Amino acid sequence: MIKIINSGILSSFQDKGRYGQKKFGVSRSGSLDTFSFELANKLAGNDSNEPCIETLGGFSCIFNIDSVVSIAGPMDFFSVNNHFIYKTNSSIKLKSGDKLDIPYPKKGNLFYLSVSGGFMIDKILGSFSYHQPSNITNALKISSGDEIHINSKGQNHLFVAESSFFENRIFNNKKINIIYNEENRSEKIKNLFENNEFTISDQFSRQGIRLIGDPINVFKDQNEVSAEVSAGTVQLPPDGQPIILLNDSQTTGGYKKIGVIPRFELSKLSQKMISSKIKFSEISMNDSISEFRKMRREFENINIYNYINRVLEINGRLISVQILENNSIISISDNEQFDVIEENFE
Amino acid sequence: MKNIFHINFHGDSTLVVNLGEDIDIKTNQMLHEIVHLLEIDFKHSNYIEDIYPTFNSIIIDYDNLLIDFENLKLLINEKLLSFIKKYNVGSEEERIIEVPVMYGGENGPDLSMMSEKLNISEEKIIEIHASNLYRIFMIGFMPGFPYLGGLNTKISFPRLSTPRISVPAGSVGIAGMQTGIYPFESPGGWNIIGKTEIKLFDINLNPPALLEAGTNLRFVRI
Repeated sequence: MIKIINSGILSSFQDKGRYGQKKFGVSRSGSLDTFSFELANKLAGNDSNEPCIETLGGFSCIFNIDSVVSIAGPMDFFSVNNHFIYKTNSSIKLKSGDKLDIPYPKKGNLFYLSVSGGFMIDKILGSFSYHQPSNITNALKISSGDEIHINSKGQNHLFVAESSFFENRIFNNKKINIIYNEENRSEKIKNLFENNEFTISDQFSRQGIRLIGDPINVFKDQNEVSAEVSAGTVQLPPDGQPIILLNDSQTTGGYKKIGVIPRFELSKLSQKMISSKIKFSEISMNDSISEFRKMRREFENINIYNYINRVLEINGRLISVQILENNSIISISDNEQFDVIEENFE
Repeated sequence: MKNIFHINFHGDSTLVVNLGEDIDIKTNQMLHEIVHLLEIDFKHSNYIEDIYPTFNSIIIDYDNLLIDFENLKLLINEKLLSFIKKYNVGSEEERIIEVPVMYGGENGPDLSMMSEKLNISEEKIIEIHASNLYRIFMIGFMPGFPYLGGLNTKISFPRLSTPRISVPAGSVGIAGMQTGIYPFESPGGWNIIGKTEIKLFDINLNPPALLEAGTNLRFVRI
């Protein structure tokens, strides 16, 4: 069992999402950064669709059972018992009584916590994903004080993943590709979108992101019949400030639609921090699918290293060292200084 | 029969079958029959993620790593053509769901204001609202929320200029030419004229939504 001390701003269970329920008005939900989500499961030795805790950070829990856990997401450090700190995109072993703290992310928005063997929770309408705008999946939202059972029959190995895929593909790139809708595609719209820089506003939730830029006042009078939207749909309301819908959006929408951010771009988009800038760039449907396949291949080929963790006592101080199989050191952390010395292992 | 549908894409993983620009009952009836047919046909397919109707279109979300748009378009086109050949207008059996409503007072805080501005008595508004048969064109916006067609123009009324922060679950409202029910407590800008105790969405039921697109609804005053 784990006991949640602090659930932070928003922490919830997510898997790959809920299908076949849109006809009842229930959108897909599911992890926003699917690549970090899958990596967390990979590092914990779980199936790729095992539910993880998706958190905006500020998350803290106590384990009352020995367990291997992994945390994936933006580059950062998480800590155990307020002492040892570890790099994200690695798994660690926790003993009964250990306290795990996940900080507020400094280079993105979302972390994924997976426990080896999985959480013992129940599906709602075929999925473990929390759906923010309705109260039908509240059992999948995580609150401070919650006690969650886990299946401890997981693996014992510890892994750390090479970060270059995530650095290049998700975290250091402000270009966002868009597939324009045929009926609204025009050189005028394309220029207004692509020659502008947009800022991610603080109106950012699992339902969508409101952007701020020079207003694109091309559809001042709108009288649309509510129709299809999906995760990635770019809407242009009469005020000219685009909205990009995400996984928990309503299933139908009434604003003008400019296009869609393709699936391979949604992880990157959902890790864009408030106030950061993005720039749109057109992509064809075929190119977006080749790019998706390429990205999947790169993800499958991420180097994952087995490592061991040693805790040494030197002059009364505890030092934690992460050592790879080839004897190179990933990190050394110390319970007093919180310093991490990193050696490049890539 | 002429080609009455048009297939288009919305992004890299959504296919849209458009059956016309207008909202009319005949189109919507045929659309729901096509949706049922496609649901059965694709029941065991691994690449179809969601099939759902809107007023005048059918939306199909698919896994773009397993099938591409052009191939799916060909497949859907073929299915639709063979369906339309066989289709008889109005062959569908009409289902009606009755929704009991407590109108006015605490349950319908905007009824008196509407009555004043429309210069129609509260009684008359209730009578008009509860006498029509409404078509459930689609379910959307939030789980179980019905988009209803068939509101009498006499009681059409613009949205509140400032939406309420919270509208209780079960509230029955009017916005422009639409009337509907809030399945959950939510912010909302519709004029609330009544409330139903009926649960519109229950995760323990199959299907979870009480109302189904393509059927009809009648409000019954209690």
